[in-house]
Amino acid sequence: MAGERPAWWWWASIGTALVVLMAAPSYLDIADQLDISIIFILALLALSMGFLWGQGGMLSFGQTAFFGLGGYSYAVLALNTGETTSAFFIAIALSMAFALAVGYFMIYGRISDIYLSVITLVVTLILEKGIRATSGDQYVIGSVRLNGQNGIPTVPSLQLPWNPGTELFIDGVFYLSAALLVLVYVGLRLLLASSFGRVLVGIRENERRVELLGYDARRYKLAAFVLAGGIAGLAGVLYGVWGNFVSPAMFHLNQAAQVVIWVIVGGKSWLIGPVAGTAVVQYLSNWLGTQGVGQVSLWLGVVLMIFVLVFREGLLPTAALAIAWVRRRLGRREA
Amino acid sequence: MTAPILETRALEKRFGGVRAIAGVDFRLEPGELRCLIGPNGAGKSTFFKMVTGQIPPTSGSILFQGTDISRAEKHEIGRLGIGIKNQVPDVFNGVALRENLWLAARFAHGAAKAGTLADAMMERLELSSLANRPVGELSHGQRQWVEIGMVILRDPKIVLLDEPSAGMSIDETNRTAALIREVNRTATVVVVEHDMQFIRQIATKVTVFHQGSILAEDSFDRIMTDQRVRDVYLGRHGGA
Repeated sequence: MAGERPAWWWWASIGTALVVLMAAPSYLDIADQLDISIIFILALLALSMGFLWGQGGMLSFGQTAFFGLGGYSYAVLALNTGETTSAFFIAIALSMAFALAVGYFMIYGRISDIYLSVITLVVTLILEKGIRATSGDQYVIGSVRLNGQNGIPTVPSLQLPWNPGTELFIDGVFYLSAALLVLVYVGLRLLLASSFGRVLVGIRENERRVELLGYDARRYKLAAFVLAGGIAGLAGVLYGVWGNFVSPAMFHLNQAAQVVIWVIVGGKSWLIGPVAGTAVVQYLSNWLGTQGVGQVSLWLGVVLMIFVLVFREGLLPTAALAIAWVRRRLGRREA
Repeated sequence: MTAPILETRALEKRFGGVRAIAGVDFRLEPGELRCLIGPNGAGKSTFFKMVTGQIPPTSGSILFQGTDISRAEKHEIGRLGIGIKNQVPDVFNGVALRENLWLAARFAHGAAKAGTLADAMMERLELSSLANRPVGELSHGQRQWVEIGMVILRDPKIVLLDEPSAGMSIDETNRTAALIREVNRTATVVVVEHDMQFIRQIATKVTVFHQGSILAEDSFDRIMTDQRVRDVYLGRHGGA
């Protein structure tokens, strides 16, 4: 897969998906648009994690750190300045800067893979505890109170850059999150076909060999980590815009674990896996919530265990294996 | 005497209380094809790993063309021009054969030329029919060749080969020997081996490691008749 440029059918699928997505809001009511937009936004978060893990071999358990940071940065900046376009971009840049700092110490410190998972998880939990502790009046950035565990309500909606008087409404958020999800997915897919992406996959396969060949693996890993931090930050900003609300729950262990579950269910070896995983799990948990089964988390846990034990590759790669197997069987019968 | 391309001075590596390499002074002239032999645990692989930055030395120094590289990072040593095939095939198992060679070629020659060079290397290794197979599915011998191919694609000045003929059939071993002689036309080569027939085919000069030190260094024929070397290999003790 790696190294190959996308085939014509891939581009055709992307085109079709874009057309369907852009037409969809005309046929969906507002509640559906909201439900689907949040799946797109969370899929971006899953994509950032799946890219790092599946392609770069780095299991970051704490992409929620950059997700939450993106959301909070946007909220604080936009509320202080009353201007949302620059807040949007600065929030993403701050997430990337934070990823650069965290990633530098982990990757240049040459800590092992398992510790990278632990440290990223601890970072997001520290941020969560930190934000939760800011309920007092003294915790103010500019004119914005951080509000501790109540979070920040009244996060401004995005204004159109060319017309700040107009704010994005629910269908606007749908268009924006759908377009950005497609854009990030296509961008990452093309990145994997580039020299950078091919070296990154080489690092996942055998970091020592990459270094013996003369590549400085640390630079590639750090670049991938910062990029993924930016994507998670983008998801965080969109999350704040979507619900006009950010809270410490964005950093929470539950959220962090869910991202890993989405990626495992969808499959990490393909970029589309985390997107599909997010959609399936979110849809499933919404559906379970309406079925009166009691503990939704418990059932999701069962689903996760089935995937880890039975479908180790995740949904999509397993389906592809099954198709390949059926094809071989049919081919043999004909021969 | 010409300036050595590689030299180690009082090189030492301790693992806990064990001196895996105990003060090795090693000299390699440009263009040589040297073989390192010695019983298991003599420190041959540890020595290779120190020269390529995979293990930092405890003390002593490693000089490549006069520059001290004993504290350099793996990728810096790779860039200077020391390539290594490790003992266990050290390739990108989950990735196609052609991609393995492409990654090696791309670093030294840029993305534009890498594809052509990778294809040429597959021809040379007679593995073209397997271009799109993941390397992990190939035989042990084929993977060894892929790794040697990756090392050569970097155009290194020194090529270190740790047991290049291990697990190969006689026919494959002969091809490997031919390949090594070919590499030696443009690079200095050091080979760690156990197979004496193989060493006889390729070596001009042999260095014998024993318990982390150099025991002897001479031509193949002289080494084979050296009583100390025989003792070390057959486990006899002096005077017994």
